[in-house]
Amino acid sequence: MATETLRNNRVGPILRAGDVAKAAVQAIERDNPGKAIHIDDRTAYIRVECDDECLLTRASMELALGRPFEMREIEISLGSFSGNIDTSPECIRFYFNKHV
Amino acid sequence: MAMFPIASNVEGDMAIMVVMVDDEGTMDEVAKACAYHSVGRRVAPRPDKILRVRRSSTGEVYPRDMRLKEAGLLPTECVDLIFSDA
Amino acid sequence: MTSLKQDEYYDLIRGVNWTPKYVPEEEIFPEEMSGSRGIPMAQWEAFDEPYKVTYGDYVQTQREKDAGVYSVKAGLERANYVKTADPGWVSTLQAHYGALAVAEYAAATAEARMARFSKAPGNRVVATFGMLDEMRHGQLQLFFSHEHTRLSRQWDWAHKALYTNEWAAIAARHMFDDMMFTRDAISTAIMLTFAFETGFTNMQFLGLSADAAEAGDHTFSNLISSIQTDESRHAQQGGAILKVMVDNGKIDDAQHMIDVIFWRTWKLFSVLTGPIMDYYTPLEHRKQSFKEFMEEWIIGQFVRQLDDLGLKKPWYWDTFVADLDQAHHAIHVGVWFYRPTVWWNPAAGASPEERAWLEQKYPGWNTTFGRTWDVITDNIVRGRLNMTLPETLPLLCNMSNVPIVGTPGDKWNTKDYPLVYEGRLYHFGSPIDRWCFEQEPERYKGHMNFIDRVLAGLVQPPDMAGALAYMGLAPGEMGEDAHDYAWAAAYQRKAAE
Ligand SMILES: [Fe+2]
Ligand SMILES: [Fe+2]
Repeated sequence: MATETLRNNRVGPILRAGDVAKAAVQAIERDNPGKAIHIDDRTAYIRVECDDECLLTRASMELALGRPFEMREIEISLGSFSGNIDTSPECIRFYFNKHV
Repeated sequence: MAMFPIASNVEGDMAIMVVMVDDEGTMDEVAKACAYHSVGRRVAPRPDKILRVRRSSTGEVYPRDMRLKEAGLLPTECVDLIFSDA
Repeated sequence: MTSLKQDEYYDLIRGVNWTPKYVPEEEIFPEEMSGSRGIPMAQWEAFDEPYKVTYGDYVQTQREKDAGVYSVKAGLERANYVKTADPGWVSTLQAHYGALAVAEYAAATAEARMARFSKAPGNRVVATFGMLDEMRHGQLQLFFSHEHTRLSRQWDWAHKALYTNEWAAIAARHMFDDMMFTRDAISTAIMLTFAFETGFTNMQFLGLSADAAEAGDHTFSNLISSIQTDESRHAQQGGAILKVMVDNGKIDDAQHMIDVIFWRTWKLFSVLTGPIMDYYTPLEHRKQSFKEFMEEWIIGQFVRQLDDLGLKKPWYWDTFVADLDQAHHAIHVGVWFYRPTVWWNPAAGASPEERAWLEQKYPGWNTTFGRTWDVITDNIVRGRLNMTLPETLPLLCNMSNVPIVGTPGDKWNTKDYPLVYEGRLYHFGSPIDRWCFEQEPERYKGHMNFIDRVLAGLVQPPDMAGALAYMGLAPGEMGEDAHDYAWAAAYQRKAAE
């Protein structure tokens, strides 16, 4: 596959399989309304990505998990991510500076 | 005689072997010593062909009866072993 | 006492810097250790780590991570997965641990150098966490492998390998020493945390975790993916350092470092990760081919990241992409053929079904690498095992320290790339390895690879037996075919018909 065909604008978390990953999929759908969410399930990890920017909030995680959730807990599941990251206690943002 | 290390790159092989050869030997003898470590191990024999010795850096194909020490190779310098008709 | 909010805390510690009065700045931050490249202190203070963690959060999160991996290990201990696992998978584990576990401590040293000598205060804070992360990786991987030492002496190499002169250990050490022990803080941030950790560690610690989960090795899958969560965090130092360099007109310097270390890292992973993904992992458990994982993590994800930071693909990009169809297949033949010289049992991965998979994933495999395996298989079928073993050593690259290889068979292109430097003849596996050497010959010129040592008389007697002794490989440690040639049975049946 040529490098060009793999060039896209997808950003988002790559999460280790488990409850937090499942909840994050729901949360990301809620936090990024109107965006196509691309999911690649590789059993041990799951890629959840959308174009240019992907938000994940603590509030949506709590809703999806049905329990209190501190944003720092995402790190336990965050095996990797595409794009740049910005963290705060309420929200994690994955993004690209440039659109290609 | 002195044993001389050359790097043997046999046509069709995926690696290059370090082979010690007698520097008094002819290029045909060099080819035989090189073939020993590749042909029949990782490269299929080609009984209808002979292996000729070629200096990798210049592409010069050495005469079959030339002595190794006359070739002026550096120790461990690479030679290609090419399956040829003559 | 009221505690600060996470972001306030972070802004505070990020700016913790001071102007020394009693000693000059260059004595506290010698250039050879700090590598500030003339960028003034005030500019380094702009370093903004995007993956923010406070010390309190760090400790709590790491504790929870460890609780997770240890409980999975404890829960599955009785199942004794490794004892019943496919031998090819056991080899995967042994190669992984031996090449990497102790190297994690080298990474801890590299993080410690940033923690002490980086002029960016924020870098010093996160590198301290990074240092603790790497100690965790060393400890976990030595501990998890240790319980298997009762199964065979090869497991001992999880700890021992990097302390020996085994050829692959020399290769790994040369690369890790170059990247982690001998670079200033800023070079370390770019080469180790950005190029190596943002890019390639994903291959070995997440890609392989997918194969591990498929193979049913949940302990290992969980362990390495948990390690990668640390990597993804501390890898972010690299991007933040890059930003300071780009803003201060040092983009070419950064690009150059990436170009050097990206190639070196690729060569290492083509030896370590390539064969285990495409040959050792049992066919039914292969989640993707090595090339597909490379496309996912490197050609897709990492290159896009380079692009976003204003950097370019390395100048040799086309050669690199072409090498994805070649390097690891060739190295795999070499490792299998020289199996007594490694501490694991290489799986050939050349049964008819596996060959069909390889041809599908790598069109043209059959008429290139397949030709080599045809000859090997024929020797096994005819009972000529001696012809499947080496009687001399292969020429090694003076940069990667691994065999100089190419594509065999119909597309034969094997070639040595020599260089005479200060009267010594060096050999390289590619023009790029040679280019790496030429960038800094003073750094590399003194090193002797395994062949250099043999020719210098350090290996006695200078034959295979002497080589194995020099490498520290005793019977019971030297590799054998992982499946005792069972993969060739189908060919044997066919020959009998
Ligand atoms: Fe690590
Ligand atoms: Fe790391």
